[in-house]
Amino acid sequence: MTSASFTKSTIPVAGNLTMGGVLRSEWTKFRSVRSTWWLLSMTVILVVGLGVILVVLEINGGAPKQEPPYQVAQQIEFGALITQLVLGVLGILMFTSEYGSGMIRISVSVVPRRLMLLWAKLSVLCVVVLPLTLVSSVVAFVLGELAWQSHRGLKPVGFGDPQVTRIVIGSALVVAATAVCGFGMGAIIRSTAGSIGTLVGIFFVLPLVAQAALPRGVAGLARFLPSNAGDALWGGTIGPRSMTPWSGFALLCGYAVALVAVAGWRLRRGDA
Amino acid sequence: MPTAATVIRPREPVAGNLTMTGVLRSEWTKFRSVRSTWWLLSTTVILTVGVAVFVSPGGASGKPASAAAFARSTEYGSVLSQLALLVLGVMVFTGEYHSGMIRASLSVVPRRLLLLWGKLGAFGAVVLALSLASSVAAFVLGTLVHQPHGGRAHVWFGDPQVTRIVIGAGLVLAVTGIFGLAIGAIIRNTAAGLSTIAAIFFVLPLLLRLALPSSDQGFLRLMPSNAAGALWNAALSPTSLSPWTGFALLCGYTAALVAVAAWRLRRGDA
Repeated sequence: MTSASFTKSTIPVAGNLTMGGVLRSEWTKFRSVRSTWWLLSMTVILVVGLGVILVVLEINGGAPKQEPPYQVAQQIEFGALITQLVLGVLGILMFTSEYGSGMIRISVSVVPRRLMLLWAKLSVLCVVVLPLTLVSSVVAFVLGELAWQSHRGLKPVGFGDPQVTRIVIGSALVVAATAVCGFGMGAIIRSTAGSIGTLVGIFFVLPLVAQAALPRGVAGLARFLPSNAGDALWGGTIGPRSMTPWSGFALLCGYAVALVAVAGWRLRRGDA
Repeated sequence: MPTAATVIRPREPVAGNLTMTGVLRSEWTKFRSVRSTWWLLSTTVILTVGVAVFVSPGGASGKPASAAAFARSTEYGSVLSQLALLVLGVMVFTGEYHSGMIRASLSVVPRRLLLLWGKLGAFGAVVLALSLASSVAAFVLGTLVHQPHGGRAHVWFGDPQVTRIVIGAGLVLAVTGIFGLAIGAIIRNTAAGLSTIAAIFFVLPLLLRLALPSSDQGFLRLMPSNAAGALWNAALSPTSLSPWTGFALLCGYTAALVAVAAWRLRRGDA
């Protein structure tokens, strides 16, 4: 070797950490993992598939003639309960998979401004999850409505009916907000198993235990649990009392914001 | 180095005497030397026993209808700790697949089923003892906290229903943990295994109960969590199997999953 040739990189390596660049790298990480596509396709399949199946069973199962339109919409959107789990796990994995593999140390070395990393991950998650849930719950409703209307003697149901738009859009918003809650939990807890256990415990098991076991005087408190609060937006709350739709959703969003804030604080202040 | 190398002969021959006891001992070491084990085991005890203090014996309706309803109310915490033991069970295998430890384990214990039985033995023994102890403790504490105020007849172990519910809640908890272990051994990934179990145990029974027309809800009693609930009168389904049939069905599901796990471990790559 007599001479070393230096290739000047066209892009300077340090000093121009832009949000665009971080977003691009997070998008690459997000889309290049198999689990992302598994979870996203599960979401579409569950929302649309369950919506159609449940409405067909409802038609065959009894006397649906007097059902008001909003109940039909709820029936179609019940899949939201399980997609909360699916996309909650997707949110959790945004950070925990990096902690599990050790990748997080590279990520924070390359993006030393840690909050930037958090915002980029959160943006990628939201930009994918929100349209996906909205589209799939609208598709589920349209297909379910077709099944409903193809059956003679049933009153047609449409977006114009009271509460229907809120239920269809709301079920999607709640699932997206739950994904953000999962994102916050994952960033705080940093372990996949611990975060999924916590999410399932708080969102699915606690409402059941609260309903069965809370003394009468405080049973109403169960409506403030995150899943019960959010599900008030489309009518899936479990328990004797429910919050009003939009205040419930606002509370769920409040939980999500608080979790992300704690995550940001922990990421900035603690070791990775 | 001029001095002769001293050969240290191992006191025990390294290969050729693969015993079940040895495998059990090594699995016990792995199990107890991980921090998450102690976290989850203490969570199990705290939730099972702690909830018994806070629940109202009789739930939202105020007064318990019977001795059985009282006993059941003291065991509600075990639904939450079921989740903790499922997580622990799943991680028995997925933890090793994630870290790559499974390859070391299988090199050392080439008879793969021996490894499965070793893990199952170590995990099952700890979890069974702990579940029974905490379900009994929950009931005892529940009677201490809630009985003096009620002025009702004293509920205690003599009642056959009460005994079944208290012991049953513990048994169900332990078998659920083994269910989780088997799912972990089959799916081999923590996130996927846990989500599957959460869906099967908690989300689907709830969703179907809320969304299916009542004429289609008959099969819900056959779902694992509802079969498990039958043993301590806590099934969420509109109809329920008889207690021991339900428990037998749960054990059947678990045995089937363990068999699939064994087949996969023996036949597939690690």
